[in-house]
Amino acid sequence: MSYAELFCQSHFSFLHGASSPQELVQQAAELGYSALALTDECSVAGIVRAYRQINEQALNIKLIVGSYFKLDKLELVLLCPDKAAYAELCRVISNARRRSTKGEYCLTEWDLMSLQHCLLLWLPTGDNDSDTHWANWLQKYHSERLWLALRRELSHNEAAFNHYCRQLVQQYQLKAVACGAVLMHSPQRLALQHCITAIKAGKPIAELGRQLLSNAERALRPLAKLEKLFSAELLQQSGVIAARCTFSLQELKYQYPSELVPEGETAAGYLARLVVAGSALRFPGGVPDRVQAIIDKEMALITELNYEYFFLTIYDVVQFAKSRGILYQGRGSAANSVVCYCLEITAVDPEKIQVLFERFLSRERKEPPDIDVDFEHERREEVIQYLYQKYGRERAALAATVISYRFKSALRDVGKALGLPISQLDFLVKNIQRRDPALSWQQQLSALGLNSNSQTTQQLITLVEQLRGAPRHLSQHVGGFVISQGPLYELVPVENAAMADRTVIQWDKDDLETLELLKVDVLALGMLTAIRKCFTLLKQHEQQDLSIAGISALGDDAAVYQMIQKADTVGLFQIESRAQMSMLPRLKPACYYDLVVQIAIVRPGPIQGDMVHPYLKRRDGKEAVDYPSEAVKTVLQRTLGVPIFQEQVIALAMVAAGFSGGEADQLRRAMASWKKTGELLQFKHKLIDGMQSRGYALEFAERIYQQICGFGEYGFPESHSASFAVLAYVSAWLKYYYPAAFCTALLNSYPMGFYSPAQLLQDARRHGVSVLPLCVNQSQWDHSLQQQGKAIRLGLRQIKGLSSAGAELLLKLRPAGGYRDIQQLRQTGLSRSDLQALASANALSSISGDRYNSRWQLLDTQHSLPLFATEPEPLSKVAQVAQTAPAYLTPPGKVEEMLEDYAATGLTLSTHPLALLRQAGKLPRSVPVEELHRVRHNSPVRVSGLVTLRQRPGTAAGVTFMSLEDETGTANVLVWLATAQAQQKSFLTATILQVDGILQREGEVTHIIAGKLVDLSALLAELRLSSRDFH
Amino acid sequence: MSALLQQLARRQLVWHGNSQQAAYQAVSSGYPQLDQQLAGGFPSTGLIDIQTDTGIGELRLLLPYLQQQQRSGRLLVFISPPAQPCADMLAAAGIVLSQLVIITPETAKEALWAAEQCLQSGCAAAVLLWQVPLKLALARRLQLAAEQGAATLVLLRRPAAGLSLPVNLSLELKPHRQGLQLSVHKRKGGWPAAAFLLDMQQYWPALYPAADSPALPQRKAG
Amino acid sequence: MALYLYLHFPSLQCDSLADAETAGLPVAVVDAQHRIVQLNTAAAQQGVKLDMGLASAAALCHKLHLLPYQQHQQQAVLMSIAQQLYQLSADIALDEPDGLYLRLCNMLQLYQGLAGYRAALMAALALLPYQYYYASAATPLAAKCLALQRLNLLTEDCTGTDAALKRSPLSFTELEPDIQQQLQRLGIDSLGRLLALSTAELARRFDNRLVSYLGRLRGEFFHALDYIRPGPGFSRYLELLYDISDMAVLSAPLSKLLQQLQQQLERSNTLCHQLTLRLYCRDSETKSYSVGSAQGEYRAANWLKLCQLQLESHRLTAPVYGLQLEVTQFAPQQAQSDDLFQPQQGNVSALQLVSLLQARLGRNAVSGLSLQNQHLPEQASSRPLPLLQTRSLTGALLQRPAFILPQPRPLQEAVEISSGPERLCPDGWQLAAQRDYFIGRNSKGQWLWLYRTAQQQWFVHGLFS
Repeated sequence: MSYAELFCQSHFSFLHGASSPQELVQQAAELGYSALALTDECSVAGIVRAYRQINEQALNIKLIVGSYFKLDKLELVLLCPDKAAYAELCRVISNARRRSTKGEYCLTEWDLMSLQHCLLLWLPTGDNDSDTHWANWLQKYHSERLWLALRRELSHNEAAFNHYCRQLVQQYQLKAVACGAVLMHSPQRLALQHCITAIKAGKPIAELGRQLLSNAERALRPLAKLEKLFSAELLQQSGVIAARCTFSLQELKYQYPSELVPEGETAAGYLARLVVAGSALRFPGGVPDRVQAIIDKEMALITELNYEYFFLTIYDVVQFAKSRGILYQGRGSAANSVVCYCLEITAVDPEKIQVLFERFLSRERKEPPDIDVDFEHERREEVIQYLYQKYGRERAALAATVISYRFKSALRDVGKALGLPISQLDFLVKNIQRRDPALSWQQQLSALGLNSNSQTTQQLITLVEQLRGAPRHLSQHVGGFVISQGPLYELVPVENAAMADRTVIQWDKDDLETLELLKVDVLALGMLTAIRKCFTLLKQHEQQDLSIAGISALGDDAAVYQMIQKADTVGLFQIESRAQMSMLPRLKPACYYDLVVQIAIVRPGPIQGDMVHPYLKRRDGKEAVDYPSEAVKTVLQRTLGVPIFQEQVIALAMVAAGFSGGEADQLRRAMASWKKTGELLQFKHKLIDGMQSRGYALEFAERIYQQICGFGEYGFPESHSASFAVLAYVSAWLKYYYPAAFCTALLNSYPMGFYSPAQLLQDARRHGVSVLPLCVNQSQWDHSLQQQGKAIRLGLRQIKGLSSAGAELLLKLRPAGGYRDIQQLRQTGLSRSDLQALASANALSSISGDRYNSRWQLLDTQHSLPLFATEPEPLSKVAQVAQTAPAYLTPPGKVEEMLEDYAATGLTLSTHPLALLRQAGKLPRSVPVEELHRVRHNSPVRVSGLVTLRQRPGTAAGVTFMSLEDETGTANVLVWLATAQAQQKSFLTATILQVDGILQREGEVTHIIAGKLVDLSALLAELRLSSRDFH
Repeated sequence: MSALLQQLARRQLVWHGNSQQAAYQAVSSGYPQLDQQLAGGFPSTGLIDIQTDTGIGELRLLLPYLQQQQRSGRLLVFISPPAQPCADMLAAAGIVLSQLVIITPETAKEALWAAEQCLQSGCAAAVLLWQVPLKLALARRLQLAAEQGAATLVLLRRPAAGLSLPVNLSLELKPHRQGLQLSVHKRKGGWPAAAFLLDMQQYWPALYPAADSPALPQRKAG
Repeated sequence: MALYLYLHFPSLQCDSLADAETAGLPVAVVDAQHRIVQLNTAAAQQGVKLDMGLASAAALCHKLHLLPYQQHQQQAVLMSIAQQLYQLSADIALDEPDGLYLRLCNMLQLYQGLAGYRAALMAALALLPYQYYYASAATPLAAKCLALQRLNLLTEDCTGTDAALKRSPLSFTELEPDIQQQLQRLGIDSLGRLLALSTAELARRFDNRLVSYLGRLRGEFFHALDYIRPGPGFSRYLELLYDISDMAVLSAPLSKLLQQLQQQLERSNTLCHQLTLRLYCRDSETKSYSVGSAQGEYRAANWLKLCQLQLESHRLTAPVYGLQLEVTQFAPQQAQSDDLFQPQQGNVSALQLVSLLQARLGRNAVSGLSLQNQHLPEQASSRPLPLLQTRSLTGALLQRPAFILPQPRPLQEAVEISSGPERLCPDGWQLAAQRDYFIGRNSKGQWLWLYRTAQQQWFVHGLFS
């Protein structure tokens, strides 16, 4: 017998289907179904995954594309017999989705009437009036392509319902077919199905009762069982329908927009012309032969793989950015080619990187070229609007990002569904430590007070594991555009995104890759904004005309690398994190490629306890560099035999374990999603067996596998690192030569990076830059350079609560000599809250004295009447007003000033709180941070400071980094889990902390391993009171 | 009669002494065939004696009548039912569950006391009493209470479980493949009739499947 | 001279827990915003603080026992404290949620001065399990401000309290947070600094609320307090002249108490639904009976009948020497004149009937039937209190038997299947325990509701009566 399941929903029918498309096709194939229609509700989001599974696993099953819809009381499944029907379905879904807000859809009768190709399965509801209406209607418009779908779910009173359906079949001369209305690939998923139903309803499972499925019959069922439940004719009819469905996703062919090529030229010819012109520009002294050879090789590959349009599309985008003065930088596997360098897509000089284009664009792997372009974060929108405008909304849309359940969201939702109290769940979610591989979360549950033997706990564990990785909704990809020659909705449905005026397609980037559709990544990068602003400032103040390519072209600057080696990298791109800083003095990057390695080797997070990365050992000559084979050597030579880049791992799998191009590509994908799905395990045997059979030692193979696992989370492609290193170097160069301008640019691009404005300014002051306070008569909106570029004047943007409109007004009406007094400032019409914000930031001190005085004057309502604007107040009266401040208001003390500075602007230029505490004798025996270098390695020490960072990073199990800032600098503190747990109160809540610990030093990096934590937060309040008493 | 009185009579809040001695006031049983046999239906008040086995359709027979009785807004009371009454089935048959009181006394004496209280109170429209032995004197007392409270007491007893009682109607039920075999033993104001078949197929198709319905697992010997 | 006392009870709800429950256990009360609003000493020792978020509190103290804030309970406890102190002090005003104002000036004479009053007050408070803080001052607001600082001052000497008042941080005043914040931003953080400013200058800059508060604080403006009157409730104890061992004989003294109850109910034109009767027995435990009338009743005679019906089923094991009758809640009298024991008139309400049946047969013997939103037949029918109007959340299933057997029994006979299967999965998703339900007919013509287990065993689960 042959059976095709024609109605099957995956977990892309969000919170309804309980299995993945992959599981469904896999199971259906194992059960011997001849075909499976994936029919998610108004969606084809899961279809590519099913398609990929069938291809990868070589499953003997046909995939039918379809979708399920509801319209009032009508329930329908549409199936695609051919490509025309597929385009039709995409159009119907797009229309239904675009009519509605994100996540919903609204089908109309018109959509259904217009169908000419799709097959229709009708699911009567039992409502006689509506069923009669629709039976007539459907029969009238679609009789040739219409079936009534009969189900057997072993539900209550099913016999009567089916009897009723059979009557409809007779009465309206319909064809009938069996279907399973499948929601699960296996009956075992019933619990998860109940659970997601509860999540959707927002109620615990226990309260849902009959809203839940009463049994597990909506799973894929064995053929033998179906034969018992349905007549042979009904089953056979499913095969008849399946046979009519010949459409395969393979037929989808992407066509690039053609307008990019000038009329009369071919794409290849045009690209070649551009590259020639570009190379002349890039190599003014003539293209070196070696480079020309690379160009020729790259062009040949591009032509062979038909990627000309792709490069032209990106070229077009960056040309737009260039014309608008928007700074950009390309990265990605194809970006670091000489062709891209010539097309001005990147500024990576191929002379310096010596990377092989083939490393990035591979003939065998058939993986599409990958170029991401970063733009200034504040101006990316201009680029996006350019794309929409150029190609129109019909032809350009963002790729989707599938937002999946992560551990915490799964725990929270499953817990709620199982009826656990919300407060307990909050507690669990907050306290379960996810980073410690030695301590599974299941074990932690009992430590956190959940009875590990109880049924609920067991269910919680199982269901959380099942729900993890399941999609929750589609979101927009940060910048991945799909642009096509024809309307996109013939290729894939388009729906509304959460952001107004954004549309997304229903597939994510992996799906696009599978179908070999190309996307262009338009991303945002704060550092580019900062660099551009810095260039602008330097042009104004120093008459310097700088560019990224220009700075790179100056060659490696030893002084700049010296600064980097000292970890003096606050504010720099990529190498400013704590982990990076701790590695810089060890790795001592001295050239561009060192930076490339540095960025890839230390991904945000871990210094892995005492474990020094093998690369370091080899670099320091503490470990011999050896290669098990020549093949491996070619892959790993440039990183001393240690795989550091993602590309190397892929290459290793191919070279050493005999992976085919396709398999290597699967491995790459699995690595990217390792955390989500644990897919990597399936490659373990293949990898290790493959390597052993090629004569590599088991130990070597295991090590490589472990390294791959480590990569899963942090692996970084060399191509990206290469582009980032350029920006890291440029930012370092700017900081070294123009610290004031660089800091100003960073502040004006905020929020970005790792450090707060206060920390950036502290750092600038340490580099000899002076910082001038906020002033109503001196400050601009942005932070600005003063005193011949030696000083930063704080800008009004730093004031919390000051509206930008208010600031604009203030600046526009500011008299040449500045405002004289509060009255004059009031006349500008600034709002009360803006005036208060100015007073709080102490920006009025030049015209009205201290904060208390300013506020006292602002509060006085009798003076807030608008005066005759044209008539200047007699000076004597002005003076009088200014003097009405009562003598009995006590001026604020240092502590108050400092606290208010922090509250109003997030930073202070006055005395640091720790300095105040130290002066008051409140910090006995605490060593100032600048004195720490005198303390010997491994000796006890006490430091105190403001907690500026409390970070629980990557894989460093059980370690929390803390930064303590005092008036002299920032100390790095490591808190082990046990220490933190024992002193949770201080650990969690202190704003000022005293740490007694052991100082450890490695090279120039200094940590304090915390022993005892004392919360000193209360001291400030005490200090404040006592200072008042003695005033 | 004043309009008010009429209204009260309709709601069975007043009753009419012994004026209708010859026959009882009838309420439709819900089955035209049965109504014909009983000259209108079941009695609206007083005792109804039903001799029957459990599980052959005895309660199903009464459901339309009980639903009708409940319309007055008064209670339906089950005393000593043979097992846990099923809310689904009763609600699906139109019984208002909030007007249903279930009494499970420990002794027959308590059961009879409860029946009398319910009948007398005037707030119960019908009381069903399962399998409680009843003496003649007590039956008279309950009949009186039922008349006083304008209520019906339905006695469900095993066939030939006792002597003839002073009741308005006495029926015997026997199972049948298509419904119920009914014999009227006694009817106030009428004569016993020959046994007849009440076809239930149209009312409960799942229980009395038509001959042409699809094959199902046929038998099971325990 | 005027003198007021303020009593502040910072953890009424925590303290209301019985000692045994809380011995050494950290307990805190959280409000709807998940903020800690009350805590006991054990919790405070673990670092939990007022106003802390629930998450941080839970992180600090794993064993923290959390109670949701119950406004009604808090009100009731505060009221009961006021009622108890009412024996002692005439003018008491509630300051919800956790304070009391007591006017002392007119009480001092009664206690021969402050010392006497203090002794009596402390003695009364010592009997209660609640933490408290207090302070006295010339105005209610001043007393409150000092009490909130936990100063525990009780003095007629105004210089002491004035100085303390001047030192008071603004956070202990009644000023709204926005005003406090404005003042703080002017460097005014204590009452002393605030009071030093001229009222005219303040009035130019602040709204009426500040001026009004300062006026009342200083005693310049009149501060109206709403003093409590003792509330309703009935509690009488009757010591018997001789021991009674026969239930029937108890009727006479009981009737006396019920008459008194009727009088009070008539006076207030109320009735009650429930009363508690306690029998104090010689050499034996006190017996407590709860007697209810669903409809509400005030007449002594009817209550007596209900009491008797309940007492009939119990036997006295020891002679009774005292009776106590207690009613905590009165309900307004409905316009209704039905008499429970006149059924001849056919006017017994359903509620009265049910009360009567329950009194004689016991609560469990009388029930209603309701449909639960559950798949499993054993859970779908429940037996709640009778006459409850429950909104059914689900449609009723047609194909269910009239009666469900409390325990399914193995099928022992031949049956003919007429319909099925309907498959149900039991709780906990045990697929192996799924049941396939069929309708079948046995040789006696009985329609049975049957199920077959996955192990192919057959059971009878219901009867299609």
